[in-house]
Amino acid sequence: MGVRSGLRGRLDADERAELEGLVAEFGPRLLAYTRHLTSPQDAEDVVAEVFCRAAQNFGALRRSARPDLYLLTAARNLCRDGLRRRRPQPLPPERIDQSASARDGPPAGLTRDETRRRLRAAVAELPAPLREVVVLRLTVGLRFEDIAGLLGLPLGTALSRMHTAIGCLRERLGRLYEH
Amino acid sequence: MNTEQLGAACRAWEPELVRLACGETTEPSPALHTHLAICGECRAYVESAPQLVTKLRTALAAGPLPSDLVAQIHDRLLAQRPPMRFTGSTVFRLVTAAAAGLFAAFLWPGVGTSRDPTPAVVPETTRLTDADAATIVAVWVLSGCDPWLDEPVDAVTSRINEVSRTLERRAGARGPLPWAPEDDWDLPAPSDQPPGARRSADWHAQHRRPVFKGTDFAATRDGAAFTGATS
Repeated sequence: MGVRSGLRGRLDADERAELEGLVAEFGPRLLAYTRHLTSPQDAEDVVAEVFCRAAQNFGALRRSARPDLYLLTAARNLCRDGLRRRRPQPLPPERIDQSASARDGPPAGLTRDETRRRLRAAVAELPAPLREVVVLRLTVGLRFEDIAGLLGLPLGTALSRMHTAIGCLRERLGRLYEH
Repeated sequence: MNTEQLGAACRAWEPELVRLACGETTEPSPALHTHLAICGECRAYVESAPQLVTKLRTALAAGPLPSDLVAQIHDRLLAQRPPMRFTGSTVFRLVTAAAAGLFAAFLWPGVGTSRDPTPAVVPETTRLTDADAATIVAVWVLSGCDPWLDEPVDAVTSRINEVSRTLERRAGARGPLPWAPEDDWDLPAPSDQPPGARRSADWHAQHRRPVFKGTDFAATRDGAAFTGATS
């Protein structure tokens, strides 16, 4: 059904319901993941494209034991293709400002939104390999075994990256996260 | 234990420390307990990292999806051309069609000329059969050419139909062409033979099937005589 509908570019009612279910279940996590790999606008494009491809090949998705990993892999590949085509861009100024203040500013008296912004900025400043593991563990909720499989890393490397990332963030954020 | 030894020991505990910080395990193992008793750095990590992880989880939480995401996906599906699926049968059909058309255009000189083979039997079929298609593919592969991807499929199909109609009036038994795919004319080494050319050279010598080489050929099949020119 999926192939046939995919070929004609139109979904029937069942497929549309299936697609909506997939979007509701996996969409937020995919979007959170892709937002840390690329710009917010590109992230939405990537997520739409991932589900578009999934809709064209429901069969493969149904056969997959882990549809979340299937979709995350597709999203990761799309992001990487997109990043390859573009030159690396510096962080937007507001993100740099926020990250600088996360290091320098006193933790006392910060609002919850401000704390959240600083935490996000600190994560955005992590090297990409560390950031990806942090996002996959804390936002997407994958176990380290799945993260290692998704990224094609040994389990020890995935754990070590998370350990290094936590160390960097502890050092960068100082006592911010204790308040 | 000096600082260097302690550092090496800490590295060995990294996986468990990370799993503790991320909440994948709730209690340190007895061995880690022992290490924590003597290592202030790891103790500080165990005490503070879970707090950081909790804050990060909240800060990095996924935002709401765009409300029109499903509509966007639907629009994309409608806008996209379906991808071509190169399954085995698709490739075979394309190759067969292209090879048949090109063979008919370049390698079958008898079509429409006075040098066509003269059939002795009225044809029983009027269409290009699978056997004939396989024969044409074999001829094409043996000729060492590889241009079929350059030929538009519609043009090839049209050419096949044209050849079929022409041969319909002239060809011999069983099919428009005076041989079957199992016949081995001009065979290469057995390991290089394409599908359709399965007989051994001994079989070929014994049965004297037409050899697709040189300027003239003459052969018999099912009691019918065929002559023609291939140059």
